[in-house]
Amino acid sequence: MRLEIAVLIIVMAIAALFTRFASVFLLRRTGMPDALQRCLKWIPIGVFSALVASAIFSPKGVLNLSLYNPYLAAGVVTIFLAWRFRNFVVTVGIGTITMLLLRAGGL
Amino acid sequence: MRVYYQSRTDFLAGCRDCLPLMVGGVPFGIMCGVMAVAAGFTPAEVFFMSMLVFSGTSQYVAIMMFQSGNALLGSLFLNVLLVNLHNLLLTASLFPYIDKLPERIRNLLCFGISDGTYAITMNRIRQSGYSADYQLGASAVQYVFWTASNMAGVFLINHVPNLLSWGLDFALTAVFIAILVPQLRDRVTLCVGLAAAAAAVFGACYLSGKWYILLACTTAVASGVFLEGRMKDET
Repeated sequence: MRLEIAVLIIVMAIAALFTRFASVFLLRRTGMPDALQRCLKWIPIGVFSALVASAIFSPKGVLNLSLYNPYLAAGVVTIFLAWRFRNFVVTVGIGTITMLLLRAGGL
Repeated sequence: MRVYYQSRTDFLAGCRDCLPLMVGGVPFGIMCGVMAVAAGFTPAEVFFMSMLVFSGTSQYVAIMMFQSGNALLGSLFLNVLLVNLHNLLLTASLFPYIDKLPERIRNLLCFGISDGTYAITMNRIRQSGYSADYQLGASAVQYVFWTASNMAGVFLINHVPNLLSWGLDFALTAVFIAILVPQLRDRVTLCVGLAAAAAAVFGACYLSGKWYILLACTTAVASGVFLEGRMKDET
């Protein structure tokens, strides 16, 4: 292993570790204020909406609302499945198969 | 392992529930390994990077910077920090649950945080309450599969087709959809979700890296707090 790469990896690791530990380190000292708790309760919806919306509406970093965007088509199908069946395996399984079929079909 | 978890059932449930994520995660990991070797990293270097950094986006960023000859330590540090900044929010929102855990376990859980394990842990909290063993199981699977898929890419570099073109990466999105949709159970949560989604798409198109997640979270918090406040005024 080259030294400069080892340093590079360690620098990356420190940056990543900081983002993983800083909140907990800080909150353990200050405690969790009520106001913050009320705010943080919205974080899951924010994170998942962000991951889903960006993956289906702009899979390549550009807004793509066309019918030929397979991520959007499969996304709509999967959202319907999730809403209708409330079943994790059905949603993820059929959703992913829809995507694979769209891809195999040339989309 | 016994020293790390109390409930074998919960640990295994976490492992199991993490597997669907791997359908999308493994092709991503393999391609990450392939690209790392193509950019000039040795197998040992990819191995340590994957073990110590354990963050797909960061590794892609490093590979791209290394490839273009711009791997300056300062800017690399900043870039890795920025693409991981949303981890601050994920761990903060898990804080009430992990605060009282033994230090060793808490540190492991913080180290192992990722979008995927956060997702299924949150899902579990909603269904039957928090379990550290469950989160630990999910993180362990994520960690092992991530490193293993990176190494698979390294050694299979000449034998893998472009896996990402198959559309398997959509499995991750499908998991996130399966977890998000049940959370949107009334008008307020639906509005918050839509507002965050709009912000995210805007951010994904006009901001770099993972800033779109932070923008979406800020939007979710602002609209959530506002709408909830208004509901209280009305009743």
